[in-house]
Amino acid sequence: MKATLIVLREIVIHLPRTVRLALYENRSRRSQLLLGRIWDFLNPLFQILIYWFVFSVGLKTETRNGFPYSIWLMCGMMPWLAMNASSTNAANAIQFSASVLKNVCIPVTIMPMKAIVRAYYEHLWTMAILVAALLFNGIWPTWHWLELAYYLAAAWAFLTGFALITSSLSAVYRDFFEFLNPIMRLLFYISSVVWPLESLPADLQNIMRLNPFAYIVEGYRKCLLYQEGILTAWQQGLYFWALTAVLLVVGSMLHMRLRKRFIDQL
Amino acid sequence: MAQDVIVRCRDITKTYDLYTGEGDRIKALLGLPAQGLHFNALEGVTQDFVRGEIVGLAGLNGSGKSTLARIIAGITYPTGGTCEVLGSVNMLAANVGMNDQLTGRENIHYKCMLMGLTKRQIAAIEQDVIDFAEVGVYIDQPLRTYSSGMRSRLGFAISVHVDPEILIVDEALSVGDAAFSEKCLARMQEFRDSGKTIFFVTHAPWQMLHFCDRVMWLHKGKVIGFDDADVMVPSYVEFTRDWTKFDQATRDTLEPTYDFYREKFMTKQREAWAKARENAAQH
Repeated sequence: MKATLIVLREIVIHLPRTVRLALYENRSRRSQLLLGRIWDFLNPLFQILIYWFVFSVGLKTETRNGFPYSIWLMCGMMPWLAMNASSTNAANAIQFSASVLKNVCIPVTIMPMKAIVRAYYEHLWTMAILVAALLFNGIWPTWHWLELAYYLAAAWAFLTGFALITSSLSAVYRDFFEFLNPIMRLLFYISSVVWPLESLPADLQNIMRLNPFAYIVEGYRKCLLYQEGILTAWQQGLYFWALTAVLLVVGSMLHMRLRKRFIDQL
Repeated sequence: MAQDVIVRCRDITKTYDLYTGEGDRIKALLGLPAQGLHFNALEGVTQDFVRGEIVGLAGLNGSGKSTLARIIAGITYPTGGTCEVLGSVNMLAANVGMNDQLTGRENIHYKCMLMGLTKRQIAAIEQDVIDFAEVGVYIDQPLRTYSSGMRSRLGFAISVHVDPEILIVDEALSVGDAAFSEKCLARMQEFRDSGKTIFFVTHAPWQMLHFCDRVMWLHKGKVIGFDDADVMVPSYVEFTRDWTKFDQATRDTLEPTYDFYREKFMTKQREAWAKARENAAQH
């Protein structure tokens, strides 16, 4: 518990610095690209196009839960892409910043947190496409849209815990990062991004909902499409936050334990 | 004598595990101790350092100078003992944290942020850094267009304008041409005069002699001596002269003492004086 307080305090204190560093790094990435920020839109668009083609054109899926498949897919794909980028980049973050960590006196937690901030900064831009697509399809904003803020906070809390574990482990044991890739690919297919959990038998659905990524992905759809409040899935929510708390505690303990070894092993 | 101690090292030990094969790696993975070799980078370093001094760290490669510097900087941790640092530390690393795609000006902001400066602090030093770096109109060009000298100058300029209480310099100050080098040394002295402490790791004895107040001599992780630079540096130079003549077996077993090499230096010095007096008497 003491480790958790130390780590969380460090993260919060250095958040402004983390955000500014993240913005600079995004700027540096954009400056290499002719199309600059347009890629922030194009990348998710291509991904959506691919899955839309496979499922809509190939497998003749026209609607999902009463919404056009493209719209339904977008609502799940946007949060997934942000979470996926956060998880993958955060896991690599400590290893990736070895030269800085070895020479500059900087809290190690800034590195994974920076990866999350970078992914979510891009996510904010892609949300513009999503809103445009929703309006284009005649889906108008309701008060439920504000609940996105809750899912954003939930995703951040969860990803922080997850990143603490993955970044610490993959900094010391490189194998872990290799292991994470197939896991993320698996999570993509079971997180209801491309097909709905509702098509499964009820028991299996409940098991699938233990996946925290699915909670966020479905949450976005609940706010934007189904007009369902947060409390409609309160058991799942409770479970999600309990899991997040466990990840934060375990993650910070692991981080503090391995921290002394990072620099010598990087 | 009441001295204003800023860094207090107590029995610092730093051990690295050396892995000898896959077996050891897997053991480490499972949290078991590796049978492989251990390397003691530092062994029982105990020393107080006072505020407002330029301290040199001398020693051969692998003597633990950089490890000690990194422990003081709070970048790495001692395996045993404690290192109490009573002030903010910054380690000078000219080429670290520079981003090729950003312009020189953006790099100033980026690197300063890495080192923990606030927006206001950065704005306050920005112009000084630009003037110091002497990169002219290139300041608004991406770093990838810089020559390696310009790059280092900019990185260096940023590092020396961050204002910590303790500065650690673990690389040659010979960035760019002689004039720029001179400017950097002058900047360091300015630092010291304003009451800051500097730790200076270098292999250039003349730089140390010219620049440091006191020098610590490390050999195989142990402190051989800590004394005023005027005596310590020439004694250490005597040792390095001997070292080049030793064969490997002697090197492995040798335990140099400060007294021995100081005496050697003093004797030479006395002989030189005697000779000078003789010469003077003859004329």
